[in-house]
Amino acid sequence: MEVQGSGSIIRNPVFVEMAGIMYRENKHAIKYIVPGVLIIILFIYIPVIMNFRYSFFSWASYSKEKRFIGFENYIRLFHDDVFYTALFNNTAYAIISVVFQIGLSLIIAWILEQKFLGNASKFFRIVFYIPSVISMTVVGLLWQMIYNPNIGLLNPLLEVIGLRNLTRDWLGDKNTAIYAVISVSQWQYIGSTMMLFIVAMQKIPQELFESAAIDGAGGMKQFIYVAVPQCKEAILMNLIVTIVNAFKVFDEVYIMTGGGPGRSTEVLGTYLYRAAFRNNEMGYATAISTVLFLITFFISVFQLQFYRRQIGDSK
Amino acid sequence: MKKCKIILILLAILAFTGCSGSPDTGEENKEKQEESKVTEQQPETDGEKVEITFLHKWPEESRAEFWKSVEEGFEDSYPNIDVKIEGVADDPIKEKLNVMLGGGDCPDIFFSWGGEYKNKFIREGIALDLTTYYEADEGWRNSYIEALLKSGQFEGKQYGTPFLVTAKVFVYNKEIFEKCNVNVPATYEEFLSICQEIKDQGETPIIFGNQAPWAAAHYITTFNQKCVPADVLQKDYDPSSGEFMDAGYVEALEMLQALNENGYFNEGVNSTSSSAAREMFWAGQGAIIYDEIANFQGMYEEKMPGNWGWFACPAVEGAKGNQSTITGGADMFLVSADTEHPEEAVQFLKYLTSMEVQEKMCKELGFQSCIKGAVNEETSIPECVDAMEFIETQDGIADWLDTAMSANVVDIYLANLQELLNGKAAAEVMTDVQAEAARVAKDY
Repeated sequence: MEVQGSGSIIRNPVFVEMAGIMYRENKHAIKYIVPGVLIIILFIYIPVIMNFRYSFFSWASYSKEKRFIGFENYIRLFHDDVFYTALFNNTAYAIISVVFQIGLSLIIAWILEQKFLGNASKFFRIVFYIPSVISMTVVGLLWQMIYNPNIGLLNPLLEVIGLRNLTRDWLGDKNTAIYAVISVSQWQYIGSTMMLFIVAMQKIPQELFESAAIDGAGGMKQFIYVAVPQCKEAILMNLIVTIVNAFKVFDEVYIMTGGGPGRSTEVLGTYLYRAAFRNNEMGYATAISTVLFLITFFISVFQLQFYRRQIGDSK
Repeated sequence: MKKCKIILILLAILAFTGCSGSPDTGEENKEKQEESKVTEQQPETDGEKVEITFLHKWPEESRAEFWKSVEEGFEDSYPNIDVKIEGVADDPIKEKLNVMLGGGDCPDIFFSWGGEYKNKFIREGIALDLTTYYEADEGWRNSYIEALLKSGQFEGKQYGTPFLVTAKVFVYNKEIFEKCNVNVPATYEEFLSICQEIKDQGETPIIFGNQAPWAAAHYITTFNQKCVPADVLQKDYDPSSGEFMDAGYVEALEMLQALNENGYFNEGVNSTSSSAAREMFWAGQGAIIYDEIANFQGMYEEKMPGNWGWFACPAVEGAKGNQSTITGGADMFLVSADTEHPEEAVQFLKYLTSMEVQEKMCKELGFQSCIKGAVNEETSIPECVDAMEFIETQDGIADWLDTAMSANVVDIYLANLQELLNGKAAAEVMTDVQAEAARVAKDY
């Protein structure tokens, strides 16, 4: 019966016409999709596959031939202390960025959305946002000067407020250099995520806050139980972007310390750049970039799955 | 709607004017097109005009005029050759060259330092052997200071065309020296004692910026020369046989570390750039700086006229190395082995190293020439002439550490030099260098 039934549906002229329209529309849509897909395949997927292949060779950019060495680049990488330093620095970058660019910026966004600030809110939004539109090169050089122990502003400022024992060569000391660089990133990008959270908060229906207030919820409870859950989508998306960016970080470190002093501020991005363009070990550099790709890929997949589940649950 | 219409009209006007190009009349346009056709066809019709590309490492605005005059002067003399000159700064040129070579876009003539930096290009067959060109033109060959021409050789063949020579010396502030009542030292012991005296008088003895660690590498090039026997150095700097087991390497590192630990350097050496260090020295914030003679005329004479002098790093008594070598090297140009125009490239190099251009270079850029007699009282300040005479009295010029050996060993050495200044033991630094040198030698 079912077979007959379905057969009768297929023979149904309305169905046939609709299927025809869908087929034509799909055909039409494919014309628009194909160029984009081809470009992505050509400029992303093929290079990723080629990169993976090249990581099994030893070669310099100017070498006439590549020497196959199997997994030697990976074995060397996993025995390389600098790789673990870089991995640690990237992880520290990610954790601190999440705390500041998600946690703190969410709180700042909430405060700036409070009515009692009036027009001052607009002023502070601009103040917080401006650093994120300045070029990283300018920011890097600016902070290099601020941190400088001879001519910088930071150490004299610490002395003035009675914290003389904290003064040091911030970028020249291997114990503080990476945190000094990470701080600059937080200073620069906190305003950017803050703006995204402000937009998300403005979309929350006012009735929710009003009813929470009627139920006796104060500012803190409204933030925790209304604002944060309502901004879940924005938080998750910012989380993915912030963490992936923390693993892709390059400019800040390259400009401010170049990976030094020693190798204390090396991150995976600067390390692969050093291997490729300084030491001309293209095979080793491609092995590093493969590992970097896998890290960012799995973080993104994991977070997207998490995102789907969370958003799915809320819907 | 009105706004939309206005915008549409403006866009239409823009598109119209954009299409029309310029307010020329049709007649004039035709004439121009005819003219451009003629000029475009010229190289094809005479079949002689060729283009060569040239990459150097002095792109600074103050030096742009010189390169422009070189381009124009050469093209006037050789109208059939069109030379495209590009400049990339000292540090980025290393990366730029790697990228260009990797992309098969090697310039016809490109900059190179001496030592291993140059040798690797030759070994990979990237640089053209110019021996026959030099042999065919005795006048060109004999115009060079012999020792400097040799720095462009590899296994007895001439690949590099030296362009200028530079060396590292201590530049001092005369006012501070007078105030502290100290004189130019004759030995390294004396050097240390004047540093102590200057420090005791409340001044910073030496200004040093090691944010980019090649700065410390220049100190170590000098100290290695003074502490390690020359034959051992030669063997260790060769990537195929590097071991770095000599005790002199540790001594050299300890000499640098002592300067820092005794408080002879300014604060924050690892976070101070070399350019910031120069600024500090010019501002009178320190008594001595280790810098290149190529900067005498363009920097020190300009920033502190009459208030500076120089001395070479004094001999270290009892050390096993050669005390009469100076750190530095000849900056040179290599011709790409893949160039389609080797004759024209050599023609350009001959022009670049002609007495006329070299004298102009000394006069306008303050560099020291590799050509005999180009540095003289008319083209250079007395300090440059003295420095050049001093170089000629030395046993040899020690190539910069960061270009003298394999890039991998340099990478470990340089990163460790920053850590050395942060307190890492000299012996530990050498253990890391030895391990990397062994790995490189094994893969060689």
